[in-house]
Amino acid sequence: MIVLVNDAESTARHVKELIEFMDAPSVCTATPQNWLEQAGERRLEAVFLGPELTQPDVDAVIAGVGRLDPNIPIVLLASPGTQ
Amino acid sequence: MSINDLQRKYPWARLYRLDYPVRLDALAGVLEEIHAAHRRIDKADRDSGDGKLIGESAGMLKLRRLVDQVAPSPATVLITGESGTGKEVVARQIHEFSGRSGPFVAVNCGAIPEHLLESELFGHERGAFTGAVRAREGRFEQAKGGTFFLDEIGDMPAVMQVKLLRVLEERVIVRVGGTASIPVDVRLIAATHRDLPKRIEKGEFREDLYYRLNVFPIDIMPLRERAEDIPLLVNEFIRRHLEQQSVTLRIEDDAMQVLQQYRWAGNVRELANLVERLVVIKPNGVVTARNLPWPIVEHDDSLLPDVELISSGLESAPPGRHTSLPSGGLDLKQHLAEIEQSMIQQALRDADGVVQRAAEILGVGRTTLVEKIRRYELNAPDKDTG
Repeated sequence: MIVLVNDAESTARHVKELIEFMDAPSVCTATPQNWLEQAGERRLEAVFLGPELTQPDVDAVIAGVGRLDPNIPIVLLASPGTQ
Repeated sequence: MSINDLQRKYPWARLYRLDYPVRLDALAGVLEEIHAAHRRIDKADRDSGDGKLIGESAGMLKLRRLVDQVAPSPATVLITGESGTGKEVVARQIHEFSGRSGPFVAVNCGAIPEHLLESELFGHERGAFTGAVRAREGRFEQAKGGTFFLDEIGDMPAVMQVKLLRVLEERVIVRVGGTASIPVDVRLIAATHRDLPKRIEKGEFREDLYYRLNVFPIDIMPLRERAEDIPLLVNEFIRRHLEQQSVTLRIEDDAMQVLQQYRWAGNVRELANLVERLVVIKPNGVVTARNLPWPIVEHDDSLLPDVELISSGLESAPPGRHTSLPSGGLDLKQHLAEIEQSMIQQALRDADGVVQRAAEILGVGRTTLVEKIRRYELNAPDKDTG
């Protein structure tokens, strides 16, 4: 299961479709507030962080991943030009 | 904040960057890297202790006895335990001691897309679907005469549960697009980190399949419940690095004590990964408690890394532990919430999960604490004296 965390639903849906197109395991979209709930008990393959997330939300989700399992890959979606 | 800044802030994290808007080739590259990382972790899991069950705790001695008892029999085994406890290591050990001449074949039911799982397990005939240009045997057939290990059985889709049940009852498979029944001589071992009885209650797992699988149950205890085995495991992982890379490491007593107190949500796999990282960071070095990264030192204030070490990038600071205001400011509400969560988790640990006792430690009412546990979505304690 891949969880895509973002505030903007349209961006999340678009990226979700692309990931699904790549034949990845199931993908769900979530907000920074409910991503853990959305993931449920399923094994997390990765957490994608959308480009519209605020820094506190990014920090909170990364810290949450650390508490859950520090080995879960975290993918940051960012505009080109940022480091 | 750039990915480099984030990596400095969270050195334990496996961070990847992807440009947005997303290009398909870049996405494919990142997904492949993620899969490769999981394969490495799974391999590390399989190789934990070179396939040996390491530990002298009562739990490990009991586990070895169970493996010895069941291995020579043809009984189906259901292995349960949290992620990273070494379920596949146990399955391989059972196969090794079984005397079966065929191979050990493993399939992770949670890692294969639903529409490919049937063909993966049972194989397909030529022309069964678009792209099936030739017939292919499935994993059941490949395991002929050996052991077939179905990992993450709790994630198996409902439609496949029915088909697996039929195989267990009739001991034959039918390839996708085929009509012939092919007898399969395999010993089946299934594993899951899920609570299957709970999934049965929710209607997510078939009860009849559960009883077919649960002929000989083996439950592997989490690492935190056999902390006395941690020094043995750490030394074994260090020995393997010495053997494979000629690099060693010395873990000081204070660091070992911290490792024995940590809760290890990722179990043996997480411990193996930590040793690997320490070997990379401090090849042939000495590791003290101060060198251990967050969240391992989260629960012990006296062992937090100092400011100098944090700025060196070697150690990491947990969120909510800075006592001076960062130059870029901070989100005070978020900061305080993180401190509160950390204190609640520590109190729950100190109180062995008893909410009433944790509330007394924190000086708050039980109802208040229950509400905060719910709001922060912390792990529900196992025990509650009411």
